[in-house]
Amino acid sequence: MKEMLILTKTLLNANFGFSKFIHDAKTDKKKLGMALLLILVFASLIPVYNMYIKLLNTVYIQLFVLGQEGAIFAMTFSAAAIVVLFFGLIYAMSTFYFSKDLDKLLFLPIKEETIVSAKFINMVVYEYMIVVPILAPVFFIPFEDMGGVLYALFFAIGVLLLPVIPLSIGTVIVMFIMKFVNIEGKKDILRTVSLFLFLVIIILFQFLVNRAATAIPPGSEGEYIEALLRNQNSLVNIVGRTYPPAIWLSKGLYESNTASGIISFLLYGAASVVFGLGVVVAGKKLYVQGYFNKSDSVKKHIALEYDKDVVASSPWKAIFLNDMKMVLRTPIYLFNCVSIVVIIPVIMILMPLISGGGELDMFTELYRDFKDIFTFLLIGIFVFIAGTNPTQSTTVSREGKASWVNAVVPVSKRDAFMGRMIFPIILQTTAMMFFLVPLIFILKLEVSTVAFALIGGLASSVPVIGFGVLVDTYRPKLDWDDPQKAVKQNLNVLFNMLAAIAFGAAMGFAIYFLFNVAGLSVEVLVGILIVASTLMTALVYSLYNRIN
Amino acid sequence: MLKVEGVSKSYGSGKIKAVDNISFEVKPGEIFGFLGPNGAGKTTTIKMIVGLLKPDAGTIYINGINNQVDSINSKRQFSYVPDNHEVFEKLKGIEYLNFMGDVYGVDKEKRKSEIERYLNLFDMEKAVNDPISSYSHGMKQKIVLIGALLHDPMVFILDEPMVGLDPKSSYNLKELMKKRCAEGKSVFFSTHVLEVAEKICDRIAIINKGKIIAQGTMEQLKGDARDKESLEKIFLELTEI
Repeated sequence: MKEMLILTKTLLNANFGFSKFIHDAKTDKKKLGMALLLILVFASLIPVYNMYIKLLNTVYIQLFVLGQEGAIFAMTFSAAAIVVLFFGLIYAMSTFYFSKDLDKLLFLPIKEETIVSAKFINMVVYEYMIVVPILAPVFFIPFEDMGGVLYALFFAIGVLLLPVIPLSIGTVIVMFIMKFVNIEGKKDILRTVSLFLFLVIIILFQFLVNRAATAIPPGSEGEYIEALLRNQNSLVNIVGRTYPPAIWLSKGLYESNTASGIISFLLYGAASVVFGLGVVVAGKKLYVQGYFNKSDSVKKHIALEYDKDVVASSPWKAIFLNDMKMVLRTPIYLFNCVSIVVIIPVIMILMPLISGGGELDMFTELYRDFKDIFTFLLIGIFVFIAGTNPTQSTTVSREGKASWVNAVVPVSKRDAFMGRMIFPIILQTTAMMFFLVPLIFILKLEVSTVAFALIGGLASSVPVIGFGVLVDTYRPKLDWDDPQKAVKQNLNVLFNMLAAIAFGAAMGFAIYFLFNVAGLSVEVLVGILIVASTLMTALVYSLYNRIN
Repeated sequence: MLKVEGVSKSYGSGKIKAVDNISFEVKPGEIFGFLGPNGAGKTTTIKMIVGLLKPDAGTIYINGINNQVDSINSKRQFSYVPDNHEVFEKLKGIEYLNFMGDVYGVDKEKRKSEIERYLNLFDMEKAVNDPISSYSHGMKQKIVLIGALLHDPMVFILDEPMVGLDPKSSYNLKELMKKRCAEGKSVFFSTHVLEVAEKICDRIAIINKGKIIAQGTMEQLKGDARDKESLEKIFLELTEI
């Protein structure tokens, strides 16, 4: 137990960099500025958070009126669990397979289960950063009606245990994938693709279950509402169907003073412990044993063919190819930078399509009535997509300790800038195509809409991508031991996103004014957008040129 | 060929002076050794020369070009092998060499012959088509060395080059250094291995706590010491002040 605590503490410190931060803050006051900036960024999110709290409040009042107030727990806890599962899959892959710290731990006199447990606890703690902000308001809103010592205790333990079950599921799945999808040479890509496919399946499955669970058969709406009103908190069972442990926890909370509530809570706790132990067992069998059975330790060399393998290209092309190969060959980058190109259009277009709700008709109507506005809406979405893709805003950070290479070679700023811009631009173009092609069929987009959205979207994405390259060249995050940190713990990604939102909003206001007040046509406005974007790109490039 | 004049560098908002007003010159055809205990300022100095750090004061000329004024041209004059041999792990060895050839503008024919020559010299032909992530520490060091030699630089700058190399490669590297100097090019390297410095360096500078405390030929350094002793004794005597 003691060694597990020590190892957990050390891993947490290494992961979050507490000691390094304190040392930096003491020795270099400039580093404190960064922390302040971070606080400022989070402070700017307060209004959004406030809206979330207000929404929860409204939902709670409505549930209360129906006598279904307990459903607030089932809703929020199952939603948080799904978020944890989603991020957990990627995080488990990184913690157990890409961090490579097993080399530094296996020779120490520490039990294998201790290593697995400490790594897992680390993941659980990391997930608190997502779970606590989602769930904290849920504690206070129903407190007046249900509050008590046991309520508070159950809630606190409930939140602390919440990531355990979804993370256990995610971790074991990842361990299975890594163990069994292992074909020589294509290992990394296959593993990433399997993980990606699995994520898509989870999203679809979750969505279909949700739809089936909450769907009311036509004609029986009255009975449904009557049943809801007759049985207090019956909604918990319906909502919780997507994630059963949420039902136990919800019952434990809204009936915390009754024996059945306590039993429900204990059931939740026991399930979490069982799942947690499952990870330790699976970890020993699949993860640690997998380390010793690495099949890639014996491999054949492929002889060099000088005429074919020695090739020459220009410096900018060399930088571009290097940048692209690094992303495509590193699973965690492939996942974060390339899969987003497919995921965002899937979520934004396919989801409303599958759900068959009224959204589709609404968009078709919107397009029919306001073609021009729809074009600019598409351009705005493209700017946002460009800002959310971390490829450009981690281009230097991804090189990590190898970044010295590009810093000492005689490559001009122009070549370096061009080389680092191309791959994100290719990805952005692909994302736009993934977005536009289904819309052409669904909404019957006209050629002019497609052309203007494509041209305007690409033109206004270029300065956003340029800003990402600029900010990551200015303050790259090079000090990482796990490639995931170059993307996931990199503030430049956030800065790039904020810049995209600011740029998109500024352009949006300008277009709104010029379209409505000055009455300019789409053709002229897209032209103006291209000119404005070119000027912004020139500004970004001139700033890039000044970085030493 | 490499001239460092009054260079200083501080860390932590000026609190820690890593390099304090140092000056030295590496002449054409010279192997220059840079010695000092851990944390003395060797790597900081090298990083300022190659452009990885900006000096707070002073100037650095590489083959007559000020590296702060015309950094791209100055970078064409040298190549650098750092003490950590982290390179792009996801590339194959040959892809890394092609990348280095591209950024230094080495044409295809010269590239082919140089790659072949150095792969043979450092015994890397078999591994060059494998991903760098599969390389051992020493192999990574060799691929960095080969990449650095492709464009035949005037100044060859190395940080702790002998650490991690097998005896044969270490011998080959020393011979290569001597050969380059015979052609009028220069080598500047830092090391902890005093025997190497004593055997192959034409001149040596010893840095301690950010200041150069001695520099000259082996004979000159021995002349400064109390009696004619080994470089190890001179080093210990000087750095224990």
